[in-house]
Amino acid sequence: MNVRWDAVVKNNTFRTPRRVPGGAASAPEATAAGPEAASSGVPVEIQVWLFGMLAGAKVTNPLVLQFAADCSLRDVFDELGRRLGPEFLRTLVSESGEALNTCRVFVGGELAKNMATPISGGVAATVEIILFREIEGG
Amino acid sequence: MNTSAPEFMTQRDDTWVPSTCALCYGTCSILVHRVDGTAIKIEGNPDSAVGKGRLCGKGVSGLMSHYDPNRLTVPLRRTNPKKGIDEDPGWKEISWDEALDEIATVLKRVRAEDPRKLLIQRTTTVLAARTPLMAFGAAFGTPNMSTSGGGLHCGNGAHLISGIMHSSWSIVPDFEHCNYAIYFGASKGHGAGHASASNMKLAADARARGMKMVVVDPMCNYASAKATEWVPVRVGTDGALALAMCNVIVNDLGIVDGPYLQAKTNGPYLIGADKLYVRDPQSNKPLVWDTSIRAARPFTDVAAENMALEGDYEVNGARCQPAFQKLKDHLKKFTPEWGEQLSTVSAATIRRLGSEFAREARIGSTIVVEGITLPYRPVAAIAFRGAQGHMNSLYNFLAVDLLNHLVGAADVVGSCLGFNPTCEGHPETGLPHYVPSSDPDGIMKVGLWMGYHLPYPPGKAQMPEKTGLQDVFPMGMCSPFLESDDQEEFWQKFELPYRTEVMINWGANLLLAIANTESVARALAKYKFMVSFDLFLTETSNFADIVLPDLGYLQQLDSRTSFPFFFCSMPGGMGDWSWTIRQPVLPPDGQQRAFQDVLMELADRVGFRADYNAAFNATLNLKPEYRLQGDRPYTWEEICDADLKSNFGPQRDLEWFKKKGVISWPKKPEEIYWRPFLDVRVPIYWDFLVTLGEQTAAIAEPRGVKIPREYYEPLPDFLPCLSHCCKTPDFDFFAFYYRDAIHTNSYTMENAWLDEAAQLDPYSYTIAINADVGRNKGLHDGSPVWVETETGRKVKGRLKLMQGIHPEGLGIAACAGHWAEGMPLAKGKGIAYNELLEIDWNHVSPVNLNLDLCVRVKVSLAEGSR
Repeated sequence: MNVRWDAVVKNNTFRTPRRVPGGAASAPEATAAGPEAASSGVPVEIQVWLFGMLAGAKVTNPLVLQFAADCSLRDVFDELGRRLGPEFLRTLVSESGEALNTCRVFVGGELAKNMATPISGGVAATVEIILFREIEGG
Repeated sequence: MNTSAPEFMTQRDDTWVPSTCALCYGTCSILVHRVDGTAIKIEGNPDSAVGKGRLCGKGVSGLMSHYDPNRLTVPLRRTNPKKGIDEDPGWKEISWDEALDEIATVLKRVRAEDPRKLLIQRTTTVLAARTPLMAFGAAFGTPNMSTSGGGLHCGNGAHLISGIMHSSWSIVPDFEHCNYAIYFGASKGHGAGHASASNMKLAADARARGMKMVVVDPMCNYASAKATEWVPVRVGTDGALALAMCNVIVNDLGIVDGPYLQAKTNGPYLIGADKLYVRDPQSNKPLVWDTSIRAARPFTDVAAENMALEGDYEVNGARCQPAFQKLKDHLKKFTPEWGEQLSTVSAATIRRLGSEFAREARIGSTIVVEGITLPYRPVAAIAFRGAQGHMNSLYNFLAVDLLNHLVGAADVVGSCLGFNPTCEGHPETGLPHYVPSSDPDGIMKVGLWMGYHLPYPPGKAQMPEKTGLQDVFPMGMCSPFLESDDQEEFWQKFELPYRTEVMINWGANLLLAIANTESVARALAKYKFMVSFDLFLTETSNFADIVLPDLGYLQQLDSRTSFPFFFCSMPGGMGDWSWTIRQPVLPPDGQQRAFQDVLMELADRVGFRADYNAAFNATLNLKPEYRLQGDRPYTWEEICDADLKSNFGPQRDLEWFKKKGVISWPKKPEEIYWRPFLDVRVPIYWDFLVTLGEQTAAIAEPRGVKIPREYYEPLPDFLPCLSHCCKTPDFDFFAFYYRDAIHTNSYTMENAWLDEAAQLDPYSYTIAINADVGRNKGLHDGSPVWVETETGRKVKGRLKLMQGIHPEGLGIAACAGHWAEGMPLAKGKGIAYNELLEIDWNHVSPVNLNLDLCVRVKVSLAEGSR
């Protein structure tokens, strides 16, 4: 029997992370900031922490930024670009507008997978960014 | 009794401690028998899938490395400012406080000036060291990190392409089901390194079961000696042989796995005259030819079975062909006769090997594993260091791997496996969890990688920020420009805006591991300040300003010794997952300290602990409840505890792991034979290389660096090494090195038992050439000879004549030839092969920066011999 390679793609169990009963979700695609983060229409205050090579003399951690309700990580990056310059932004974001693999972004302590990650208010409205630009080998 | 172990002596002590070996990067799980504070025996841990209870000769000899009286026990400060191979550093003992004060002062200055001036260098041998060092680099703010000789020599082709084609750091046969494995300069299952102890058992069982093992190699050593068939090949021509086999399979036999190529590769993508994908103007998606409606459509809109693999088409007024058609036509020039001319393997043998491989693949067949019907392709073509350690590294490795993809033998039952690129995690927590995904073009991106510089999609070439210039050459991983003769010339040409001034070295011995000592020493001497964490006063540590006495692996703590190194610790195929730890079996001796705690104290003294904590949070991906907070001064124990609880729940903390040593759970068929289950494609046609070549050339050529575009073609070719072009009379050997199964790089030659074993071994410390060739030259077993390159670099040693080596080959076991007084057992043993290697732009791949490891040499009797 010749099984077609494209015939078994359906019902794939691990294409996206799954939640395990009794366990925490792994690697969420998009993460809200906190339990009280439900959209309230209230402007959002976000603490942005820049680490490593991003934390130069020009930056005092944390940067406190104000956004309209229902903002996303993209809004935060756009604002960082406005404040710290396009050169700075180029170290974080690719030409397609997504964060580079070397740029690790955490929203409310959880790894953000893409720029559409929503950020709402609450105690956990923090964005942490650090670059891992070293190259591994061996 | 070990009098330095009082805390282990409070009561009668007779226990077996579960931990992890570190004498090579196989990281086998071990049990160490400790009696009254002294380790007396090391065995494999049968509760772990990492090693499966087995341990090699190196592993059991770890006691001798630990109890070596030449171990460093106090911090040392250099008093002689002059650095050189023959310079006495004039070491004086200093306190830890003095040492850390001085280091912190330097680091503080450099971080304020430009953090890129710091280079972090580490050995490849102890993989678990990467996490604290990588996090330190990211927190400090430097992009400059390197992994010693092993990185530059083995990884740039093998790991890059394994990542792109198998989402894994390396590849291995599915030993349990494979019927026909062909190795090209690889020793998986027969030597050191990747999952060595586990793979040795799996390979032995496979051979006993009847798996045919063909080994293409210039030398009949570890893998070849156990093979069904040894195919001696001219050094550096594995790619030519593989391409000729591909041609036999595709054009002579016409045996390919069409459904695989349609559904799992970019074989159906239409290619235009510009060598790039033809794209849909609206969606920008690559187009394929839909045979059901006879029109071009985006690949996402067409059922795989309707995607044309062959033919000529016209799309929007332009001619184009499917990528597979391009490959098929491209392969025609690689006739078996052409392959014979280059590789010296007869055309008849090439035809036979190609035919055997294709027919044994049983294309179209299936097998049931644990109740799941899966494609069954019981063949595997495996390449590693030998095949890809050349200027043509990338194409050599890709040509071999194409054999697998032509017949659909990729990550299915019996085939070539990436190990282990998909994991659903522990049943109770779902962690660790990683799965390959696809980019907008449908091409596979890795689910897990070492670090964040992913193999695909490659970054855009740009002006350099790294001293290794990988920004200009984005396919490059480890870089020769950290030591090359022409580094300054290239840094100037590419306008690198700073120079590295400080090196933190963790256990790497660059002077033995990279290339000729003259070049490497010159590069090392340029550092204004160098700190070395080490076990012994090695040749490289003798270039340091301060040497810090580190803990050995029987004294260390690590919370993740098998992760994310599943390629190297976990065997491929079914069985168990095992997450393992390393824990102190023995206390520090003298003033030895754990390097992880030292790095954290340095972060405190320099003032970037908050950054370091953030870097640990990121690289360990700690759950919110276990994340390190602010600049709180955590200990390494606390971080390991957080890492383990984050992955396995609060009940499985460090104390739990110290008792157990390992947590295991069963693999699933969907994880191991993942290829059919994921909607990802791999590139048999590398259109992105064309674009990358243009980008790199646009930067390099205006600055006087010619980029040879033949290295950036989308389909593999055979491109010769410099050694293949040598016409100088008497230079009639192709010298190469191989990794000795007895030793690990340059480290274990100081181990008394391993040194003794190597002295008993006829080959470990000698120079091997073909017996008939040697006798014709008047050379004999034991003859002292000089081996000399065209540039006048030479090494001396004693000959070992053997039948099992290609007539043009000259083989030397790697990384011997120590001269440091701090390693008296190792001193003077074996041959320093790397002394023969040049390290400059002319000797590296212009696409992935791989150093050319073969060299044309002449052999002459040493003075005073007969």
